Amino acid sequence: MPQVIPNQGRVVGRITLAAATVLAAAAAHAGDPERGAYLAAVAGCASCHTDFEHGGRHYAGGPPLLSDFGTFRAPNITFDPDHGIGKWSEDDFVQALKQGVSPAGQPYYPAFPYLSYALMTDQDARDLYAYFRTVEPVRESSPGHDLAFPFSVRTGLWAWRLLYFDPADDSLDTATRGGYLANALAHCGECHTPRNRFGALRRTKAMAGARLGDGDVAGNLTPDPETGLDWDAVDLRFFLQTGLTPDGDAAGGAMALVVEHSTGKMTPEDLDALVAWLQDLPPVRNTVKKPPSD
Amino acid sequence: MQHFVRIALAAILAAAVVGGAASAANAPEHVIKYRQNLMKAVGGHISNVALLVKGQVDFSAGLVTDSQAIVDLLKNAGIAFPEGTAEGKTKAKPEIWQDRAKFDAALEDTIGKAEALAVAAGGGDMAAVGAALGALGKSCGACHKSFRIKDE
Ligand code: HEC
Ligand code: HEC
Ligand code: HEC
Repeated sequence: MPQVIPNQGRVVGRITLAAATVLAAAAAHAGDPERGAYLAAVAGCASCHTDFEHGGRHYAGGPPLLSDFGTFRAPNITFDPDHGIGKWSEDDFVQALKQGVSPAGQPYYPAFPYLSYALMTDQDARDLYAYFRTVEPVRESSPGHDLAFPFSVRTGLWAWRLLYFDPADDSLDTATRGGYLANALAHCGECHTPRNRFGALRRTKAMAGARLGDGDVAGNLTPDPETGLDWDAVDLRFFLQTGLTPDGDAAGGAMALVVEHSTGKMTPEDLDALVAWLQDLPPVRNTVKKPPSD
Repeated sequence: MQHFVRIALAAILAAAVVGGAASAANAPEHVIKYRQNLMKAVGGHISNVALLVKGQVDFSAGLVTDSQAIVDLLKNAGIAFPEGTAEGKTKAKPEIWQDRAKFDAALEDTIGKAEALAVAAGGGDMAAVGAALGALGKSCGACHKSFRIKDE
């Protein structure tokens, strides 16, 4: 059509473009709570912020999270104005998630995996906000963290961030859907990538396995023939859906929660993308040591 | 005479063996072995059902047998975790004996999911079997999460 009446075509084209821009901007602002609900599941927010084992209310505060620095408790993130985040604007929420800074300007501990969520698109963060606004507010505060000095001093985190948080870092793949799922949303690397002694992830050994704060081992997911995972795509997909290994063992530890609340809820398309991405990882040789007490 | 002695001796020996067995039965290391074998057996049957669900084999004749075996084995699992078997070559967490009611409830939940799998297996609809197997796997994982040490 534009070739037939070029002038008009150009004008129409420009108008259409402008209209599309306006529409896109509007769409970008209105977070979609339904998409947000799916994203919250895939991103595993509930695993940390809901105390399932003790029948805790949804997102009203999580179980103790053991780490080498002490015990963290993920707080109430329902929209109760006094005990949760009911007073937060969308911008506050996006900043907390993607920059790890509270509305009061305080840095968060990386036990809140904002280094992964930093890779999330703004739109996804806004959809999450829209979803959390629909979650039933809970009027109860969760117990605070129990950290050893000097980790208990929050301002120390500024120095840590300077060393280990680079928002411009694009070394992790988020361009493919699988990479985006693994790195930005489901944050597989937060457990499967080893950390240095300051708790920062060692990117050169991405997904090559690590020992967690509770003593569990999250194995090497790369296809290294000696130390990695040799499951085929069918086995991997099945495991992420059910938690059952090819030997008929059932994943426990933190992975049981990941399967139940995150990967087990992924759409077939997302699962396929994640599995394909995992199988494409460069092999990294890395054996995870057992805890010294054994 | 000699013959009689031999019989008497055999009787004494047999009594000793049986008596010995009675006093040594349920030594913690054997109980631990028993429950680990039981869990491994459950794992074997689950793995077989999974091979079918994943389409890696098509021996559907075994589906009902494997599914029912999981139910039967799990029903024997409770007795294999008596008091006094927390130490030794075991991955069982001491929490089992600190919160026994919760452990038993976890087991009940898994047995329920296994029974649902057996029902689905009887029906023969593989999509339903897959869904039931997924629910079962998560239930096994829930108990392992709370009550099994995982360090390798
Ligand atoms: C691995 C555990 C973990 C996961 C997964 C997790 N969080 Fe958190 N979150 C935490 C911890 C721990 C804190 C507290 C951090 C601190 O005090 O510095 C926190 C803090 C927060 C806060 C700040 C609350 C406040 O009162 O300041 C928000 C908001 C939040 N998380 C939202 C989310 C959302 C949304 C998701 C999912 C996309 C999520 N979290 C996933 C552990 C987690
Ligand atoms: C909160 C920590 C945590 C997160 C997040 C996590 N895992 Fe795991 N993962 C574990 C632990 C712990 C195990 C070992 C569990 C067991 O063996 O019972 C494990 C086991 C596995 C296994 C089985 C093979 C093995 O090495 O044991 C696979 C595959 C796996 N995870 C994939 C993933 C993928 C993919 C993601 C992201 C979608 C992910 N995990 C996110 C902690 C985690
Ligand atoms: C009520 C709790 C509970 C349930 C339910 C449960 N397990 Fe276990 N499982 C355990 C404990 C505890 C151990 C560790 C036993 C030990 O080392 O003494 C274990 C160990 C195992 C092992 C390792 C055995 C070995 O020593 O090599 C496998 C495999 C296993 N379970 C599979 C399963 C499967 C599959 C299911 C679901 C059908 C399941 N389990 C359900 C508690 C449970």
